[in-house]
Amino acid sequence: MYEEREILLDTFDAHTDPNVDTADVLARVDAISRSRRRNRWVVQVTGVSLATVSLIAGGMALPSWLSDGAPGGQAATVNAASGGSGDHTQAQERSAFFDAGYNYADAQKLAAIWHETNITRVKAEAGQKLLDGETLPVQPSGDAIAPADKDVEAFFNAGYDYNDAVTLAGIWHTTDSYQAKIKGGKKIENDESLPIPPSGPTGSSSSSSASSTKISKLATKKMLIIKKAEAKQGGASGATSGTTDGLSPALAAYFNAGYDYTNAQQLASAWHETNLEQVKAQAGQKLLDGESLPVQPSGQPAPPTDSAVNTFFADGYDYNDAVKLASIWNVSTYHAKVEGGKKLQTGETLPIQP
Amino acid sequence: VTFAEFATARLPALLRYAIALTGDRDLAQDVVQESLAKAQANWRRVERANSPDAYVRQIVLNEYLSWRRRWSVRNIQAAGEQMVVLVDRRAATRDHADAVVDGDDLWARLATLPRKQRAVLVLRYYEQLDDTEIASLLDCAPATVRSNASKALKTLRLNSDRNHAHSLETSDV
Repeated sequence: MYEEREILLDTFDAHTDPNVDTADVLARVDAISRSRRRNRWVVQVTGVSLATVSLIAGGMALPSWLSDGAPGGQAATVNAASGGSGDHTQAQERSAFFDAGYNYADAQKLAAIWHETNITRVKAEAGQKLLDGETLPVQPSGDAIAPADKDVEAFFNAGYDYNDAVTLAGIWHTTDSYQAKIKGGKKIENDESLPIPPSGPTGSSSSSSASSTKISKLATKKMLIIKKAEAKQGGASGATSGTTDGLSPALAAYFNAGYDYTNAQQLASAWHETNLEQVKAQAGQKLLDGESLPVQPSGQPAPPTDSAVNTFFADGYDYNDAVKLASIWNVSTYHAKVEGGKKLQTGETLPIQP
Repeated sequence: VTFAEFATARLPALLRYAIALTGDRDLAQDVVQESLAKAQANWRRVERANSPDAYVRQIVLNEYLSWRRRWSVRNIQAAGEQMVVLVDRRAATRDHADAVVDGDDLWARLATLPRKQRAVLVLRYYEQLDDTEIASLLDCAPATVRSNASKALKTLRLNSDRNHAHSLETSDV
């Protein structure tokens, strides 16, 4: 029987595919955090030096009050990269809005001024104006994308991914993979080579064109992560090749078993290992191989069904695939996701491609 | 776990959770960005929590509830109502394709729910929490959770006393 629980679960699952570039979102999180840490006068002082850096590819510049070095200027502008109004996708307009340092509160102010109640429309309209080189009647609350964000973007655009960052963190002995991304991105921007080749193809460096390819880039990234994980796993255990939320199978196994950073420190101490990334990967591999670890996990293991469903989506399958599989296996859509995920976790293939 | 590691690993799941709550990808992205920024600012505290993931999900939930208070409830509801009107109300043979259509219909109906009712449904069915846990997250009594869930299901025409769920849409034309 098609229970209300399954009806709702299927409905949520069918409509909650984020379809966004996670690197882009993380860069914005960092931008929000930084803007809150700084007082406006600090932003104004550093504005000139920030403006000298080509932060946003595709012709988009910093807010004019920053680039002019004239604090108190009325509005932000973005040079028109190509064409005029109507040439931009909503994603591009949204990116322009946020990348210029505007946030939700600014959108609310604009909505009040423009007598528009739909905030999403306000952001799109504001972004379009910025892309067309027009000014907005309010100043951005934050500052535009900063060098660190661009370093990370350069890192990903060069075809490197999270696993590459983890590898580089080990080589460079940086504190974490994020620092490795920044360091790697700086080197790429300086035309220096990195000690490892990128896992994927070189991406576009134009933010104005990047938005239109975000979905395919995201899908490509996922596939590359999976392929690389499979290559690394090949023959080691020969069992699991799936990934969870972009993590390698070993790391996914580590976290899904309830282990955390503190446990990694304990394991590092027990194994006389200093690189925590390697410790986590090594521990995860042991878990995948059915071995036990010398410390108990601090947290609770992820429910198996969650893990399976996550794997199902992480491997590129979506709701419609689940519907097809449900039809083939004669089970509910939800069970198709769970069963499909479990099969993927054990290295089996499904009767349809994602 | 550093904040960057946590955010990279959990972002897709947080975005899915926020979309389930808000029903809107753009708004969900904004909510998650705000929530992660708050988590980053208090990362030491978040990291020390029993479950950093649950901690951040609570921030996302609070952010959603407060944002919905601050703005555009009527917009989201109006959009949902419009979608309900436009939806294809087929009453013929049921198959998986119809289930997809019904899913869109139901998604539109979810948009018409008051924020707390929708939150209860997301927490109960999407997050699969029990009513006591939901009550704790929403800072209300379990009876209030049950009441909200009942009202929401009634609005969605998903009451369990209607034995054949597939006949729901046919009766509301």
